[in-house]
Amino acid sequence: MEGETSWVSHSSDYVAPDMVEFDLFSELNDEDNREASSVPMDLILPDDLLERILAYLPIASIFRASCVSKRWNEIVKSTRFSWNFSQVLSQKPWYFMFTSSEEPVGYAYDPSLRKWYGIELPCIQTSNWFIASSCGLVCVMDNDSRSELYVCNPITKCCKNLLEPPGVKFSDYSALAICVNKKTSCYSVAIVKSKQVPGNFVQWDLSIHIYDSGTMMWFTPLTEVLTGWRGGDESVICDGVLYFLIYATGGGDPGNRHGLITYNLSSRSSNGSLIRTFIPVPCSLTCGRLMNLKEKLVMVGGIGKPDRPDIIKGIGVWVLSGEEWQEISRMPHKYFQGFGEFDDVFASSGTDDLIYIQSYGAPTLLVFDVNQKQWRWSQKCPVTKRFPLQLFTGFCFEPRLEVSP
Amino acid sequence: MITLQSSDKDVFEIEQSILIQSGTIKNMVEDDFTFIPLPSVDTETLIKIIEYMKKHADKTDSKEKNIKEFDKDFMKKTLNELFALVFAANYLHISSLLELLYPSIADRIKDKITEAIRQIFSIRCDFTPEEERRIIMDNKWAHEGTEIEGTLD
Repeated sequence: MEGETSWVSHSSDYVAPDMVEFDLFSELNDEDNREASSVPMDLILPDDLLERILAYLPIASIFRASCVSKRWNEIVKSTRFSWNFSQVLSQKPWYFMFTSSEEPVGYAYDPSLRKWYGIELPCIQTSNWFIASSCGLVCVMDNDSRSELYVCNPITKCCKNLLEPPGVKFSDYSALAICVNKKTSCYSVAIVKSKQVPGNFVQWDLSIHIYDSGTMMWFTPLTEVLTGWRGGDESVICDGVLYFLIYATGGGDPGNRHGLITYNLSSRSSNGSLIRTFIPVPCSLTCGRLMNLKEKLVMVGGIGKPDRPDIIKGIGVWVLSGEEWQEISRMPHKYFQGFGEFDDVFASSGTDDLIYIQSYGAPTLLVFDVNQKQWRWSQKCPVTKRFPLQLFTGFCFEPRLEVSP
Repeated sequence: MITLQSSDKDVFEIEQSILIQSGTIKNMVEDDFTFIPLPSVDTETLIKIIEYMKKHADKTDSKEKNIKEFDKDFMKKTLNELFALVFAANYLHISSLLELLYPSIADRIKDKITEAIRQIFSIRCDFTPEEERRIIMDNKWAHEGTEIEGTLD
């Protein structure tokens, strides 16, 4: 991967959806630069006109516009503007890639402008924290005590510390998920904890804990003992349903090592059995990544051989329809090869219409547009691998101005 | 027929059916006005507005592609012309033209750094250097050009 000759850069192909395509005409732009407006435009443009124009800017430009003057700053920071901005254009989700295994530093990729931004993430202290995201809010949990939880907006840097979750401390596995109600801006955080029953190799204690931002309280609707299966760290909430992957704890059919469990968040019943909701995965997987794409559950999975499930031979994308998986796409071979060494586990995250896939071993990022069924490499990340064992991971989030924790 | 008069005192006779795309003119027509002075719209801009309304007056399905092409070309103007149009369209309440102008103007400034935006709008920065530095540092990333040439595809 390193040492690739650089290619011709793509011109900015930012296209506002449902709008006529607007090309940039450099001659006209030069003219704009040379002659400042003959009339002081700022004095004459009323606030609401200026607001409507600025609402069409991409996020980075909005922040540059906020520095122009006090008046522009007030306009851009107003609640009305944030709301208008969210209505005008839906920003495509960004992907934040950690470029250090220790420090929480990295770059966020904007697929619309094909640019990487060196944003600073609030709250998070190391790159191995648990991360979940929904509608512009990102929930993070530390990986040591698993008791420090924050919900933040990475763009506005607004942050909130949540109450420590209940349940067993130092669980063996935890899965984190968040869902934001777009209308009310309330959110729920779900943690699925798994702990091996002491002295027992096949039994695992599973508990689900839900946080409600309205009441600012946790409750534990369900605990269950699984036999032969355990929870892991993969979960997501779609349309009010919590989905998480479970893993076979040994023995049995090697092709059947992953399964999906569903839990309806609004049911709040504790007498239903989780294991009865079990849905098998579509084929032998090396790993599975769950994501919410427009309230549909999508899984990106490493396809393994039935007899050698540790070896990845391809990557597939499936959507859950009822209790059946439908294959949406398979990563074309040239991209699979393009990653070079592909471990059996990899990072994948997505929301809205985009899925991001990266290998842990390199800062190379692949983007799949589910709507257009198009695979594409991202613009090259401005970071190269510094030492052989350096790992890269990341997560997807929607850049929004109008949501706060 | 309705007569429009620009700020430069030029007059234009246009069919009512075309002009009612302007909410402002439509209201005046409903109040039985046939002569409408527009003191805040100069001749050059009024000519363009009339051109736009004429093209958009006949919205049959077959013409939709033509209209889209026209709109695209129509936006190929200097920023000053676009500003003049956005004022006029705002005053005249021509919402379809406004919805074209907002993203067009935004597109002209989206890649500009803060200082360039100030020059375009003839704005003097009223932040103190310290205030300005603080605002920039809050979101340093938006001001950097970290684009790297090259992609793997």
